[in-house]
Amino acid sequence: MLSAIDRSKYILLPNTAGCYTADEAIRTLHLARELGMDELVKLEVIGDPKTLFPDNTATVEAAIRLVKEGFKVLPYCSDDLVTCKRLADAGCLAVMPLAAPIGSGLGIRNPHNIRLIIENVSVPVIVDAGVGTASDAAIAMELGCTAILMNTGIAAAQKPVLMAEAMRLAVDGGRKAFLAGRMPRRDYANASSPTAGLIE
Amino acid sequence: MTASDTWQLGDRTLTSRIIVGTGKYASNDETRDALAASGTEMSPSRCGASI
Repeated sequence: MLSAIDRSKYILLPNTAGCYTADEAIRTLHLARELGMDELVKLEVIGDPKTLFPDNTATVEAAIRLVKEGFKVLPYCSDDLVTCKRLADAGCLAVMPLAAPIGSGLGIRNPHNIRLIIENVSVPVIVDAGVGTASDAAIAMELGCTAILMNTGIAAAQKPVLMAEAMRLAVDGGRKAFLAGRMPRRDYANASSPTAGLIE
Repeated sequence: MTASDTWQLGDRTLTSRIIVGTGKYASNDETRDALAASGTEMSPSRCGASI
C-alpha cells in the first residue's frame, strides 16, 4: 500500500488500525519507527469487533506511554469529552473523536458531543470516522472541527475521485461557514425585503 | 483569507483540513487520484501486517 503513495507529497501517518490492546498498538508503532516512519502516528485501539468502537481506557494508557517515548500521538476515540480531556492531558497533539462507527457513513451522530469537545479541549479536534458524504463533512467543519479524517466515504463512493473533490469543497465550505459565523436560527419568518419606504 | 487559514499539528503547519486514508480503493491509480483530488497533505497507513 505504501508504494501507491508518493511519500514526498504526503505526510504518512503510521496507523495502528486493527490493534485490540495497548501493547499491540505500541509494538506496531515501534515497528513503524524501526522502519523509519515518522513519529507522528495515528493511535487506534479497538474495543469491539462489530462496531469497531475504540477501547478508550486502553487508548489513554497507550497514549501516555507513547508520548513518554517521544511519539506525536493522534488518537482515535469515542465522542466523549472526558476521554478527549485525558488524551489531551496525556500530551496528544490532537484528539480524533468518531462521528459514527468506522466505515458506516452515518454522519455526525452526536453534533452536541462534538461541539462540547471542541469547546473544552485545547488541542485540535479532528473528526475521525463516520463521514459518508459531503454534507457530513460540512456539518463537522461548521461545528468548528479543525480537520476531518476519512477513508470509506471517498473509497466506497460510486465515483471515488469525484467524491474526493466534493469532500475537499465541503470541508472548505464548512470551514468558511464556521469562520463567517452562521445567522441565528429563528422560529418565525423575518422578511428579507425591506418593509419600510414602500409605495402605499 | 484562505491562504492564511492554516492549522498547527505540533511543529507542522498544514493547509488542508482533510486527512484521507488509502484503504478499499479499486486500484493504486484510483488511490492516487482520490488523494490528489481531496487536496490532502496527510494520509494514515495501516502498519503491522501490511509492511
